[in-house]
Amino acid sequence: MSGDHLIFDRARFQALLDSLECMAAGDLERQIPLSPERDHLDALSHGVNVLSSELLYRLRELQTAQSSMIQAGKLAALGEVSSGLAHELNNPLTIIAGYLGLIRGSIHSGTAAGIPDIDELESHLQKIERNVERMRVIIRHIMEFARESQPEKKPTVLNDVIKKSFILINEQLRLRKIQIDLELCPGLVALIDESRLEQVFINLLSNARDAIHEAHGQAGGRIRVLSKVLSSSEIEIEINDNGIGMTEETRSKIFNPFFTTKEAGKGTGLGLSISHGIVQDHGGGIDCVSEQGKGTTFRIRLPRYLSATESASA
Amino acid sequence: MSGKPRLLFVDDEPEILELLVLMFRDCESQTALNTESALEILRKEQFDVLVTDIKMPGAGGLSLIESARKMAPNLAIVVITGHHQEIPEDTSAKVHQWLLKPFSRETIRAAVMSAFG
Repeated sequence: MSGDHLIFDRARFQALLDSLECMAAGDLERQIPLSPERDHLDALSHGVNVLSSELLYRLRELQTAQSSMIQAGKLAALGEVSSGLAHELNNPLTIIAGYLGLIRGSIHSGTAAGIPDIDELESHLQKIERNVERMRVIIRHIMEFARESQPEKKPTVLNDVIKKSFILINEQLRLRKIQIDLELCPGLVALIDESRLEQVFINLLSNARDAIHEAHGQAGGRIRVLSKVLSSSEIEIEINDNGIGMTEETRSKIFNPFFTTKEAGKGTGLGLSISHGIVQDHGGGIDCVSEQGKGTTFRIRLPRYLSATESASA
Repeated sequence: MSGKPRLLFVDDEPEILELLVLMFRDCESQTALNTESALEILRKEQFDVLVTDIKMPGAGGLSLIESARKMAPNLAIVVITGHHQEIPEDTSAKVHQWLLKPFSRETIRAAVMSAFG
């Protein structure tokens, strides 16, 4: 080929360059149209098309693998809170079963005496209804949380997600005498996948729970959750505990996949690395400061969602 | 002192305590929401049967069982718990019976009455 001169149509060459730029920007579905000539430029374009198709295929494989890993992490997070959930469900179930037994007893004894005590029966039924509702809230939330779904980002009130995270972990915190202080700035909206952000909060709250238990045992401790506006375009959520804290060496590795300080079989070491990935996927960042014996603070920054009116006036 | 069984119920859930009292209307019942309050009551009064949960905030039911055994060796103990694994081997010997939540009225009555003997 040496000495050959390749002469390309300027417009077609420019179209090829434009397509390459779009692909470099992430549009891998774009295919460069080929001309009927099937010349060198078409050969080059065809090569680029094959390359971008292959990249797109690999990217989708990677997204599927990432999605599976997030789902596995979600189930692991649910496993972390499962003993509390069992307790939380067993108590209302005990109350329901107990009052049903009392109602049966009342009906039999009341029938024998000729006058069932209607007020007492009504009171028992109300207790059953209240506890059925209590179980319904928990079960519905477990199902919503564990459901495998495509990531779907919607403008969401952040404080609602923070409060929902406690539905699943509240019982464990209560049993360990861990006090919760919420200092939430109202009206913060972010474009988020609610379920995935909740997964992040549950991971961080589970770690805080363990760190406090390790430091203070039955005496319990405190978790403080704070949300605030950092700037017109950014919001921050801070989760602070007064637990055992970490050394600098541990702190520097906590977002590494499979890194765990828990004993074998107690933690996957994936919770924080998945959380890190989820926050990054939302265009945000997560970092951590910790002091041994004092506690740990995680800070999550997320882009603030502004409605069209707010954007215009910002 | 009447011949009715004297029962002390310990659970961190007030509604469960209320239910237990209703289930044992024919007995003399007292309730406590935690181990510390239960021990306070046990120091002042005598009971035939202690019915306690295991998982409670603060010192849990296992600690209560250990202390109650020392304070009142003849006290019969019935455990109501959400988990099989919550009772270690060395404690299970000190417990008359343990029941898994949720339990029926008949089951808990049978357990408490057999503990009363």
